[in-house]
Amino acid sequence: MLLLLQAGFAVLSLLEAAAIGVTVSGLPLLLPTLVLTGGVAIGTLVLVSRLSRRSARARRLAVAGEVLIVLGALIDLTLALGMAGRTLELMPALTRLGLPIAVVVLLRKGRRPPEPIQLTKADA
Amino acid sequence: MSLHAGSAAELSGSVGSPLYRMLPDHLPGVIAVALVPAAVWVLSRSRSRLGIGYRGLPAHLRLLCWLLLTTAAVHLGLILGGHRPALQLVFVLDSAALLAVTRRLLLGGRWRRPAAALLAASILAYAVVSVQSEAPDQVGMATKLVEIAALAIVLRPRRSTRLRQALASTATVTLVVLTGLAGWLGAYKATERGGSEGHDGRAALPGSIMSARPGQVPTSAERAAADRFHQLAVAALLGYRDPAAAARDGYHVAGIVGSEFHADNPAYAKDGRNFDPARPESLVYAQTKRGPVLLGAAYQMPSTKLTGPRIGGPLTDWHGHENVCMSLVPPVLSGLVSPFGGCAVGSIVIPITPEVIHLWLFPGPPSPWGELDEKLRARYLASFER
Repeated sequence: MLLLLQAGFAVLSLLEAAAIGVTVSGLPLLLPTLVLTGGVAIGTLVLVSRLSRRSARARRLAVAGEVLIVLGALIDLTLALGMAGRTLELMPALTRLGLPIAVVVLLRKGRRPPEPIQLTKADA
Repeated sequence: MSLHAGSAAELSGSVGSPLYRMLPDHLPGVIAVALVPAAVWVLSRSRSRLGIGYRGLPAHLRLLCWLLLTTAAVHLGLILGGHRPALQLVFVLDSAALLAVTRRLLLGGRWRRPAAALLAASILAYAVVSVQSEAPDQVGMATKLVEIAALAIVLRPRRSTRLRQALASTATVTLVVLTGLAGWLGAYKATERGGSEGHDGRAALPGSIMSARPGQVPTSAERAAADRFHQLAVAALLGYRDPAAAARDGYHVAGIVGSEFHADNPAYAKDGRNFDPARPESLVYAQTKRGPVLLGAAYQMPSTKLTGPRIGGPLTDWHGHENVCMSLVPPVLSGLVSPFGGCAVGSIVIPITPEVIHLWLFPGPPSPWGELDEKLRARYLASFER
């Protein structure tokens, strides 16, 4: 579910970058960014589908993606501290730090095999 | 995380878009959210039916319980935020309904449909309010994100088939995109409304930091200084109507596209001559059927720590930019930080840029300084499209 939110963020950024490409920066210059963002949006949806089938490879890919998002947020945090003397605002902190960390934690929890059921006297 | 303060531009009395800030009226909502973990802790240890119900929920429904309580807490807190009485009543009703749905969830009653209706209505209502009357801010967008996440859990099909899963996934992604677009629209509409935005104060365009001195009138000396500068600039810069001449002087004019292309001159940005009429740091061109058209120039300060000279008082109102997304390959503008706090993939966020002021060289604008009315620019450029 959290990955679906991230796919939505990617689609939103794709639309915005496309609009900027048409009006300001030029589509050819932004083509790599658009392809990358579109690829991430589609890739995230594919990951969601694979994760529902409990693919270990999909889980590893998702964790790697989340780590990259957190690293990106840390770079932006460094820039914000250095250039403006401030930290991340509420939304970037939620969506680029909180959300990816939550996804990694949930994926790692989901990886654990179910604990063997121990029958107690009460169960018996 | 910061709730935004401290840049040089802002300290000198400027304001940015509420989209990147927390409106003071929304602070009680944030404080109320801080009480949610304590409430859930008490609930999880309670021997009441609610506590037993919580402990019996699967993980995703426990998360839903957290999300519902969070949005209920925000709305309860907002009652103390000094909104209009009608809006306060809506917050009371919304909080009560959310708490009632949470109770049903914990006690095993029918909760799915009322939860879906309530969350969808809350998201839609915020979109409408932010476009019509109140600028979206960080607290509002964060609350909507919580509600979208809750709705995604509610919409999760109980009997999973591929089609149902695909429909639920599409609905979630669509909701995120539409809410984000409503956030953008609300932020831009707030600029058009002006005057009383963010409950008080002036709303800047998203990505811009502008002066917070509305209504100030220039003195005759300031007006004369601004006019003198304008005349000098026009005399010096009209030669750049030919992009080849600009290229000879170091402006990057290759690939002019769009209606407001900034051709930078890196040498002038570092020459130590700030606000020299003949040496703007950028020239502004528009691409038309008849080729590039010179629209104006942009003068930029060399550092975020310096403010531009206001030679014409409020006429020469410099502005900065914030939360700018810059793609790395190649390094070009890829947008502004979205209402959900992100940029296109492969971009970094430039938190603040040095102050800049535009000077328009074509006839028509009521003032040659500052932000340009898009309709006016379009009307001027239309004559080059025939």
